[in-house]
Amino acid sequence: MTTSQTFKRFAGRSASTRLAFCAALLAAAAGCGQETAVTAPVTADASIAADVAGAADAKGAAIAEPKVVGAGHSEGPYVELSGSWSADAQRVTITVWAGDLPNLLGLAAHLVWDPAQLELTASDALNLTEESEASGFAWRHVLKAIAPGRLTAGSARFRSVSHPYAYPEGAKVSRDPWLKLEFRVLATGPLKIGFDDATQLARKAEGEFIPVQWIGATVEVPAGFAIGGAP
Amino acid sequence: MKRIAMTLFALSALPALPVSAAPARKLFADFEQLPPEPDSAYARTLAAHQAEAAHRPAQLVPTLRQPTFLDVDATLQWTSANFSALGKPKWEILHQDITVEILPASSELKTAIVATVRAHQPVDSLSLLTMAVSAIKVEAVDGTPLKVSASKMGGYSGLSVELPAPLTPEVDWKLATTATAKLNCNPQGIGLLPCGIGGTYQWVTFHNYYLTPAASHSPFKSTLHVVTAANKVAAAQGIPTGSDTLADGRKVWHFEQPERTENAGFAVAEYVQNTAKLVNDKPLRVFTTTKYASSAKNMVELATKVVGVYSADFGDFPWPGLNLMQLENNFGGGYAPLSGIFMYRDVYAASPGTGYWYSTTELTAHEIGHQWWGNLVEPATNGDVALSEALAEFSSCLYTEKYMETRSQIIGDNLSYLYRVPANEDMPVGAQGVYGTPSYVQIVYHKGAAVFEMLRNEIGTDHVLKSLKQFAVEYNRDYASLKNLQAVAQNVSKKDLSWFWNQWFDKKGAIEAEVAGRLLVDAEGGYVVRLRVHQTAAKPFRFTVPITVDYAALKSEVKLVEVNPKGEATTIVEFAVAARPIRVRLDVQRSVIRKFATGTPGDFNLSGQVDGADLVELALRYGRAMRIKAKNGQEYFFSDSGWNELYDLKPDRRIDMADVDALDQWVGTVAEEF
Repeated sequence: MTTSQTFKRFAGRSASTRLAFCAALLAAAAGCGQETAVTAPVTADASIAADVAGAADAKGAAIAEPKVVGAGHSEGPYVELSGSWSADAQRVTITVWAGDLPNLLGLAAHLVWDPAQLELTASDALNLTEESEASGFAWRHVLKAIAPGRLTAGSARFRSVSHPYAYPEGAKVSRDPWLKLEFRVLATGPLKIGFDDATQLARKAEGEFIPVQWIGATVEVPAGFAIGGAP
Repeated sequence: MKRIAMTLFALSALPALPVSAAPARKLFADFEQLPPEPDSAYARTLAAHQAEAAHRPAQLVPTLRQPTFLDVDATLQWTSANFSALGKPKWEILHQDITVEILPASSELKTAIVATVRAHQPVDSLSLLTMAVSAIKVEAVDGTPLKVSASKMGGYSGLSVELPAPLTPEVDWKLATTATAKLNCNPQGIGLLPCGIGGTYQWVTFHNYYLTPAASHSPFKSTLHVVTAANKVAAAQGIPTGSDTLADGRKVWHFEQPERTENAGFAVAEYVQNTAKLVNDKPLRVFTTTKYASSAKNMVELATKVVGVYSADFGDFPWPGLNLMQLENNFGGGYAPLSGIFMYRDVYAASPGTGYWYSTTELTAHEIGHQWWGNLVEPATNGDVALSEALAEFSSCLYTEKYMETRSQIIGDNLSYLYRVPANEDMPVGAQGVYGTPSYVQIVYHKGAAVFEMLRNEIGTDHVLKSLKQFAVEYNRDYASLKNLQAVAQNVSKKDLSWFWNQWFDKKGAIEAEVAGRLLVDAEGGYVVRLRVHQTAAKPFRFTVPITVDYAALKSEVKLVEVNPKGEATTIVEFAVAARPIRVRLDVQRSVIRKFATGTPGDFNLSGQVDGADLVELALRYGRAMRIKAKNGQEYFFSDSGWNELYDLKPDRRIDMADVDALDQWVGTVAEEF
């Protein structure tokens, strides 16, 4: 699956840092499309925190690292978050998943969080289905931080060639990563990342709205955790 | 609307990015006159309308273009049944007994007419017009030869008949003419005699008259006798009253036209009849060749249904019956004299469920519409021709909207005017000279129908229908003007519509506007949509636009919002909405003659901010286009009922990847405050 044409970087991330960001995601057990769909509330990436190098307090005792907790989706179309702490990058990495979407032409939402608690440092939108010249379709994305604590995201499937006899055509999305986000932690405690209700939409090719479960997540940052991370 | 303390919802902390800071951008694509895509539905519709338009009265020499009778004495009271708008002439032809025969071998039409003339004042000579004849003889009905001088007048012959004695007022007198006219058939030619002399069908249509004392408006009753070969059948408007066989085996087919009218025609073929009953048991006769007799049953059903619908909407079907006649395909469209309709061959082969059925329905509903618009109520002047063509087309659009469940016809008409009429050919729908523009069909048929469609936004569909019904009552068998219809519509709706008539019938052009939206919350926490409509025209248009507001949970509502610029370029309108909308859409059903561009570029859903949702909106319109490129590289006009220029961000009459690319630069832009 190719990455989108839109990749926004923040806080002076270098290209190599970006690669590390992607590599960390790929290394994560549940990252990059390997997760299975959940049908009951689960703790997303609960196992990941144990796999990464832990920090220690002044007395040498291990301090728990941030973890990402999502509510999990029920049966039916959903967009949900999972994530983990990347010790290498010193960032919380979030994957926004889309799943159980039949005939999806496009989806969009604003992701919102408290900018005093989390700082978006990188974002990327991914193609929801494999497309190529041969398939005759391509995904196009809109991804932009439009205000502190607010990221607009939108993706839609377009034909490679526009022609009045060629109508929009949606794709079946089983469970695929839609967005990859990276945050610097600025605070401890439960830090929420969610979707602005009024901006959520998913549409079929015929224009029909798809009722979708838009499920946010909480980044639980333990007290005493050294906030921030590499700039 | 109550006064409200406005705050920009959710994004109030953001500085508004002034649109004026953005680079200047082009709002609409330049006009480009492309030919219609061959074989497209639009091309068929246009050809049909152009073919019908060819039956309009020819352009006579100026001295013969009197508005009504040649010799009208306005001081006389006119007491004949209706046609009160004519004024009373010094003399008129009340009835014509017409015998016609096509001579295919010599391409001639032989005509013998006995005209019943009545003078209302002493008259000692008669000026008449007839088709361009190569030989003519005029005599009194008792056989007394009359001195006649003939002169060529365009495609006509002008006759001056000296009478043996002045006619006695109010005493009927008869004259007889026999004439031979050389036919130079062109099915879609302009003039008196569109005609065809093919192997299967032979026909002649007359727009306005056989023999007339006036260049326009001299309705007469008639009997028609068509002489045919022994194996042929004649069909015509009016009541078929049987046939006789001549000594040489030829046949004569008789038709009675009990109504006064100027429009007529006849056709000859090996016709068979399908028949049915219209409302009030009036007969419907469909004349086709044997090959089409079976499929013509679809036409019978369609015509019966359309007549029924129109009878309910516009008043009872007014004539004794209706005859539909099949002609060859190069006839191209339809022609609808009183109680008769000629249409080209293949519409009688169409069957429901096929693509061609839609075109057939459009044309048939248009032509049947003429039984009310153009025959029952006739346009008083050339500038009122919209009362015939625009109303027939509008009636057809109403029919296809309701019974075919599609608005593609009225949308196609709207787009046809917007994208097919160059500025130098544009004229007001109600202009006296509108016949003269090459864009006559797009202006009168298409824009005219779209104007009546807009009237639905102003006074409501019920009032529009009620107005048309009342109009048909008040001007039953009479001439009327657009102003007469305005008066009726005002009376029915209790609204002043002078601005509407002035703007859309007396002036040319269409709305072009940038529209920006903002979502606000009032002091009580309610949501308000505020729109800024900026028009560039010297005289901004006033209009009412349906606005669809979509909410979460798949709920929507449509609001009719009036934009009344009162001479100002920019108009701000706002309206309360039930909840926070997902999106706001302008004129989804294209019921306004307009081009809209986003005032906040790329904010297609008028949320006040360009974001991911706008990309999804764009995806839904992707591919829509008003132009299409053929394999040979030729570009054509393409009528796309899904077209919305709002999404043509990089204007080129295609919604394509260039527009997707163009959106990117605007993502995050917030509507400037207004």
